[in-house]
Amino acid sequence: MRVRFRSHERAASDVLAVDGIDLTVAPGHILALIGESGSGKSATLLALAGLLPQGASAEGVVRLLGRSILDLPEHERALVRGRGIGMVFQDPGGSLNPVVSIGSQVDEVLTVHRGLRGRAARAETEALLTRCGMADAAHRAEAYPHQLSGGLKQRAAIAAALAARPAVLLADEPTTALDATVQAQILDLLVGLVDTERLAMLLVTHDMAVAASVADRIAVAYAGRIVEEGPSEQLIVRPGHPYSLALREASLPFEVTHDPLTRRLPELRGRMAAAGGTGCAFAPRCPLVIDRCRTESPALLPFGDGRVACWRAGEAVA
Amino acid sequence: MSTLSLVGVHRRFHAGGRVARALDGVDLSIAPGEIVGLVGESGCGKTTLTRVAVALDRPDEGMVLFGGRPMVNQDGSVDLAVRRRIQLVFQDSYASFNPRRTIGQSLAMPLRRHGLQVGDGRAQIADLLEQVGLEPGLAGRHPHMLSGGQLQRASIARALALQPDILVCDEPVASLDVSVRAQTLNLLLDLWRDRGIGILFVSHDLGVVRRVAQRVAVMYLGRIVEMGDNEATWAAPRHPYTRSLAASVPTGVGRWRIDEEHRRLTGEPPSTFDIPPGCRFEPRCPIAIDRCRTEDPRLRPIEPGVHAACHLAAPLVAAREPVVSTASDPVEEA
Repeated sequence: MRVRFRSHERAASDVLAVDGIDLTVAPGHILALIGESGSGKSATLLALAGLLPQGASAEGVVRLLGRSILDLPEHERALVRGRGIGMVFQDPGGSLNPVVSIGSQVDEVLTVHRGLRGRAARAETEALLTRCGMADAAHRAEAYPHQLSGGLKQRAAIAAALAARPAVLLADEPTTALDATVQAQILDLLVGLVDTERLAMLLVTHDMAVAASVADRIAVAYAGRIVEEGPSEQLIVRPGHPYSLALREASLPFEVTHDPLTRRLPELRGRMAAAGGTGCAFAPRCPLVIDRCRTESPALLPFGDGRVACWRAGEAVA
Repeated sequence: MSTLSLVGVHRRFHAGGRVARALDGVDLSIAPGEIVGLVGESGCGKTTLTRVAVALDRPDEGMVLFGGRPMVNQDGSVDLAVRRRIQLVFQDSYASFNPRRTIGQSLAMPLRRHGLQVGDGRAQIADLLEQVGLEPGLAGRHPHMLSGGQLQRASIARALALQPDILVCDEPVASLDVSVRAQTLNLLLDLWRDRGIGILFVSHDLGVVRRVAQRVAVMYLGRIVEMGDNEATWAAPRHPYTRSLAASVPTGVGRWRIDEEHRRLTGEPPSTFDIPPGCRFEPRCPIAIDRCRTEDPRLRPIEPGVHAACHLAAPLVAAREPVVSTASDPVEEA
């Protein structure tokens, strides 16, 4: 998939945010898409959900249960989006309507997508809230978003996302704004739902530790491309791409190698290049760079049980 | 170089006829040349503590001492000579710079205010920017022209302008990308090592605190519930809240599993408007006994250098056994 953000006047200055990303998530599995600011992870998610802003365009194929959805007319895509894809955002306050009780918001999804009304809808809403770990759901359903803590709001947002029984759950930094103990509870909930509801979940996060602890597979985005993709354990323990290794070393919950005297941490100098340049986008910051990297863009090729886009795949060591 | 100490500090806020005990009896000291980590969840009082520590806010009870003397004068003022030596680095560096001033103008302000500017100050500002790894040419730019990482360096440069003894950093890397985060942490570590500055490092990110701090203080609902050597604390936390915090940090690889031995916390912290009687952690505590409901545990020494506010905290030999009990089980009291 490619995602382009059109700048106001000339096509020549269009910004390419995603430059040929391809990803697959199976039911009952979690794929984590990780990257730093500018990696294209958010643009990928918005394109998948059909939520790109005006002036942005996506090319490529997005298949949901065998059906291509990117080229559907808008009204059909809205149905597919609502029924087939559930979304959870970083800021649950922003995705919930502040002047409608959370119960009514879940009711509405049930009415639109499953034809449930009145008491039947409310009973299902309470069941959904309970399944999302909200104690005393009948009472809490009457609450407005501002009356709930961040963790409870996120639980309500997850219940609303699941109400249409989607096949896919897209979660954009769902625990980034939460405290560590609440983050753990929400991750427990998401992992449990993926198992019991056979959801295919795409988890977008900047946090490699979160990705490693919940995802079956991890894809690492850099400057609009996937530079490595593979089983979580392989990607953390034996990363094939020097950028994956650098990310791991900078992700502090892991046992990073640090200089015992100075306590300094390994760091990655420089800044991310824009998407769509020639050669490997990571070359300017890469400790293993060779001439070929500057002229020829490496393809994503098999590496162990995953794939790596690097001319020197597997050579980087901490 | 002098030590900064908070002694029995209380800070209460009144709202709608109710009282929030944001700081409810806090003792903490930061000596030059040491990095003290302060961790805890949202609303536990971390930010109030940093504001009191740099005299942006005053305690209702208790004292802040600097070099053994009260930081705040009888009339409520703080001497410039004292204020200069304790500096704050904010989490949101965009909000802490005036958007209409250039970086150079913002850095010149504290120098001028404290009468430390030499000539037109240009050389000093260039030097400060170089000390934090920025091009001196950035002095002419406005905050919106800098990246998040550059601006956080600039805010550290501003704090360094007055050559402080103690740097109080409130979530200094929370909004930065991981690779920029490592660079910023290394900058703080270099300053600590090269100049012997003391750092109070406030963060909700345990991973970061584990990496940089020498001592750590764990805060819960307005009070420090555990304090000790950083490595030792995380290796064997004595307070059940610290254990739960440590168990909440994702560190493993593979599908998330609930670690039964360190049962995860359920619920969220109650508010400082409504601190439970007895032990404030009791309603969420997996090992609470009757005594915890009535008697407020004080922070007490458990072993040399290790303090915990828990009736059940015991020296390491006993604590090594996983504590599996229900409230009605007889549990040996320490």
